[in-house]
Amino acid sequence: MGILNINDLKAGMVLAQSAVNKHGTTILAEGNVLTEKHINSFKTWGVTEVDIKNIDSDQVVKKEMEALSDDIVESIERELDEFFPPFEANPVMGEICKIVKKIRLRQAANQTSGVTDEIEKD
Amino acid sequence: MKSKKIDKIINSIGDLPTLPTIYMRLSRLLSVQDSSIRKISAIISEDPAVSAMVLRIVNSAFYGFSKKIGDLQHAIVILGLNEIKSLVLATSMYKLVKQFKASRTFNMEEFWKHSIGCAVSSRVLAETANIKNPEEIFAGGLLHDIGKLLHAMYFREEFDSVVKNVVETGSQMFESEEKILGFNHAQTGSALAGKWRLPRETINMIAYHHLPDMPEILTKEVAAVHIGNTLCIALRMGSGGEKRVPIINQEAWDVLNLKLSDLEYVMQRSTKLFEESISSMEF
Repeated sequence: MGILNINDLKAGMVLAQSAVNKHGTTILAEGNVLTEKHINSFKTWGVTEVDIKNIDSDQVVKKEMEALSDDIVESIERELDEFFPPFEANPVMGEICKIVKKIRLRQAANQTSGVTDEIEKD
Repeated sequence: MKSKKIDKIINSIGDLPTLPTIYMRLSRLLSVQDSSIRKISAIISEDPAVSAMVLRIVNSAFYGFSKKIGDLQHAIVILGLNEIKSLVLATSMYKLVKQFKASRTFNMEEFWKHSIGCAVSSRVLAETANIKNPEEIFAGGLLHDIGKLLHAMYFREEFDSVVKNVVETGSQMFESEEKILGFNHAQTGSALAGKWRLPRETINMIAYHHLPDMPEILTKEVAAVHIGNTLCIALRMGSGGEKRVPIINQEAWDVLNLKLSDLEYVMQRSTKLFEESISSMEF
């Protein structure tokens, strides 16, 4: 089981839990095999993330990171170094910077590859 | 600079921008116990732009109703009064920002997104920290940089120099403003909010959102907007002209009584709500 953002869904994945919108209304019941049509209707009906069988979302993130080249990682780090002023001994700023870095790396990874395909086959 | 002098500057401006009266009337009506949906709907329907926005939002995919809702009273019941109040303020502010042309150096659409980003992030922080009036904090976040709008309108040349100075030096905008104009946007913005007769707490959220100039009592509301501002800049939700992420004051963080591990949730939820908000209010 793994929670995936709807942007990371692929046809053929299986719902581990029913997909619900923000009001808790079921849009598609658990056990269904996703089709492109389902994925599009999630967007229309306000479903933002779903639980998928046999997928570990941490593993998805890890694989995405591995797919990134050193150049991309370095350029993101350089950009954040300039964007964040020095914040020694400020744990809140340290945490924010860490989260922003994670988000930026994920975005870069999403642009470069479709790693979820590989994991699905494993 | 003394607040009297700021008032003098504000008073010297002949045609100050006005916040549409609809927001203040609605706030007054909502503060009394027996406000009926019919009365609220009557006020909102006087402003076609606001009415249209309310109906557009309630009919968006976000709420996921299968039948189209065409009736304002019905929409108010669904959205709830606090949501309506935030929506009316956001629409009023939107009209204000859209009204006038951008300066050479300052992008109004980016400014609008920054305002919405701060409003949303501050509200999510407030909700996560269990502060009782998140919609008031939304209002404070939305208006926190309203002083920049004043500067862009009435101190054009100086404002362009400020924006240039920030780009060149990487200093915070309020520091460049103090150097070039002699006052900063938190001072003019809170003075304008005073003219608009907004609540004391809203004025404080605008006045102290940078927090090197500490208020006597650091309230949770002020702390939420201070941190919300940093979060939305770090997440690049629009731009209010800053080149670098403002450092969060540790005392403000302590006041909210949140854990560091709450931050990831707050930032992800803010990003999601921000994207939904700007897609329903295209610039």
